Amino acid sequence: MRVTLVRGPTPEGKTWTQSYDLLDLTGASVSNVLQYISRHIDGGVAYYLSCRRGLCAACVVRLEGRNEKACVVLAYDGIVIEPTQERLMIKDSVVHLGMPRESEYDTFGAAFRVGAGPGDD
Amino acid sequence: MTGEIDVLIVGSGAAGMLAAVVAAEAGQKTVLLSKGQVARSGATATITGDCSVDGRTCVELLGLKADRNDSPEDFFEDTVVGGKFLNDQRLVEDMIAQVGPLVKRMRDAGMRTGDPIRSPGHRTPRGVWISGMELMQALRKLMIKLDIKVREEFFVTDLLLNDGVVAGVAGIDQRTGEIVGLQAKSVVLATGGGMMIYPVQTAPEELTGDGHSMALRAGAELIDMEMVQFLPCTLMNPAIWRGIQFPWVMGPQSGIRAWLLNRFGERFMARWDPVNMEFATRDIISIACMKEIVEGRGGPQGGVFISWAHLPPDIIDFAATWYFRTHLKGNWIWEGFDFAELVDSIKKGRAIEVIPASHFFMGGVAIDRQCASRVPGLFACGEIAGGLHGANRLSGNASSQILVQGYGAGAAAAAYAAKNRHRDIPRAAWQCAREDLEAPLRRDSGVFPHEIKDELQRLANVKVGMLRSGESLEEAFAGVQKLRRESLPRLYCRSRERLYNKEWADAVECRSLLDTLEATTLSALRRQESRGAHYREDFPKQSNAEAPWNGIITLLGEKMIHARRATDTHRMAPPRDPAPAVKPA
Ligand SMILES: Cc1cc2nc3c(=O)[nH]c(=O)nc-3n(C[C@H](O)[C@H](O)[C@H](O)COP(=O)(O)OP(=O)(O)OC[C@H]3O[C@@H](n4cnc5c(N)ncnc54)[C@H](O)[C@@H]3O)c2cc1C
Ligand code: FES
Repeated sequence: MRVTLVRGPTPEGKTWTQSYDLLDLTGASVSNVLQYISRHIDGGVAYYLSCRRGLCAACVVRLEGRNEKACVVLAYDGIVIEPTQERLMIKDSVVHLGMPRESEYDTFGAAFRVGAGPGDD
Repeated sequence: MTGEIDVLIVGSGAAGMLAAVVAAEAGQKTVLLSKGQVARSGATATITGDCSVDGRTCVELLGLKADRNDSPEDFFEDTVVGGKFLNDQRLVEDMIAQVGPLVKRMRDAGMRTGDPIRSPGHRTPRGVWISGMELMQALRKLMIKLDIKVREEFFVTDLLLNDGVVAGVAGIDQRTGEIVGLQAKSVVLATGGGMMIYPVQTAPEELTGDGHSMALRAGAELIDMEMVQFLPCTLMNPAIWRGIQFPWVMGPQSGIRAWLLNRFGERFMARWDPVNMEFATRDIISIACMKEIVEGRGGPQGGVFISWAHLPPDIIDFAATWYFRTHLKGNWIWEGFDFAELVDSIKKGRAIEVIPASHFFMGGVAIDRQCASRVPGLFACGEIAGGLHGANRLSGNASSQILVQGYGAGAAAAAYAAKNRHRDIPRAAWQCAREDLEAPLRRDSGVFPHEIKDELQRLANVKVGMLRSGESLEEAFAGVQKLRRESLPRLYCRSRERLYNKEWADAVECRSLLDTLEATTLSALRRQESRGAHYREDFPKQSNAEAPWNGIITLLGEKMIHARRATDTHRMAPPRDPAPAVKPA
């Protein structure tokens, strides 16, 4: 089974595609496949998964131009998995959902922080 | 907003969200952190079911159709009998007394309610129909109105203490990839259960026992950890359906007479409960199914069969119009799945292979009536809090719990914050937490997180699952120690990128899962009897020779310690075996 992910963003805000050839994963959901890739092949692949039953709607991805809950759609050969909105992209298919931006607590003032760069304090 | 936090809430199921609302209403600066997304994570999202309220309150306060003769006293009795007398009766009293007004309040905030259904263990209809997603939508609106700030996809990993008192938390802000420490006057844990220690779960993915692990490491007590509830009949294949309880709902849950069969076509429930058969309680059915499976009488995929073949297909079709009316969308679309084909094959007489899945943790952080743990400044509410349900939870009582305790913990944490000042986070505590978190990113080789997860889930399933014995538990305990000694220190991630690194989160979850499994194993080992959800093959009977006690787990240095504590039974006395007759000399 060939699975293609639209990945990103790069520091310049660009996306790229990456394909994976998987052995038999018939009966697996799109979420099962993303989790499999992240755990067994490419640890850098991000995905969101919670209820696994189509209720929380937080696992949404874009498939063939439509927004779908990844946990309730069967994966198939040749599937291309994209983020729902590149504008809201955090990483790979994970996009900024949930509470509005105004509700965000800014950890900049936090007591302690270790930055995204290696080892800085 | 940045800056000072009075009350920090960890977890955004309904319990955490309600605690946040209440703390903010009390005037405390409240921030909520969640590993998932607010109103879209936790087991709360999966409730399309019941919230228990006594019949009289249903009629008089909520205006619902119910049994006016039902009373809080009867509700109390059913809950304690169902919990096999291990419930903390003070917590039960509070839940029953307070749930009605809170359901009303949530309804005023936008959650719909339906007339109560009667669920097993309740003598009359008390299960007010609610949707967890609707409940959280209502709470989300209140949070926005109160301008409560949140950090989503923030994985809290450690409670930071100053001289044994809560000073703040540390965790991974997955959306930025940073490790962050936050100071707060009080912390409310609302992280839900630890169902992911088992390989098949009805519960959501993020419930990995993080709260159990961090509370234990902070000095809190865990109570009743041996008590895990399984839901008997969930789908096994295809993978997309694993852990989905559609067959259970199509059978015992709705009252439809489906049969459970082993490979010989025997209705094996006859050996366990010949009167109720497939309508026995969940714990007994789960144990019975597992026994067939481990003794080699299961099906080709490793489950048991459930069959409707003895029923005319018309009965199945009819069910779609009555029971499933509120649950089905269109033609057999249930939750997110289209089961039309599966139902077709059921009507043609084919059986389905099913397996029990981990569903709920009765055990958790020990709390008092104010939801306070024994660590000053640390509160717990919802499924992470133990003691309320005893050895078995009745249907609908978890929804009541999250409302009552979410409210209680929010109020208590706010009162605590109002009286106390911030405490410094000791540099050493922060460094230590941070180094532990970073370790898997620093190694160049070792053990992958999924390898540890797979092995511990296997151990949990076969040795600490529905069937337990002294021997299996000793083996599990040794297995956990081995993983701790040999694998945990070698955990490593292929990707060192910090931004939203799922493999890194998996690695950190390994510690939570191991702590949770060890506490469950140790508690199960020490309870040498069978009671409720805890079934020991070497001690198959409940022992009423002594007064009921709860198992308490604490951490002493690196070691988990088990102790017994007498259960609060101030209101309803447990059954006692007659004192053994003294043999004449
Ligand atoms: C399929 C299913 C159906 C159910 N149906 C019913 C029912 O009909 N009636 C009933 O009474 N009960 C039911 N239950 C039980 C009930 O849903 C739960 O007990 C209840 O929702 C728990 O709520 P909570 O707020 O305590 O935790 P949860 O809703 O589980 O929320 C936990 C929250 O904590 C967050 N979290 C976890 N770890 C961390 C961390 N390390 N850092 C930050 N955040 C973290 C999660 O992201 C989540 O937001 C059901 C359970 C399941 C699985
Ligand atoms: S994970 Fe909840 S809808 Fe897919």
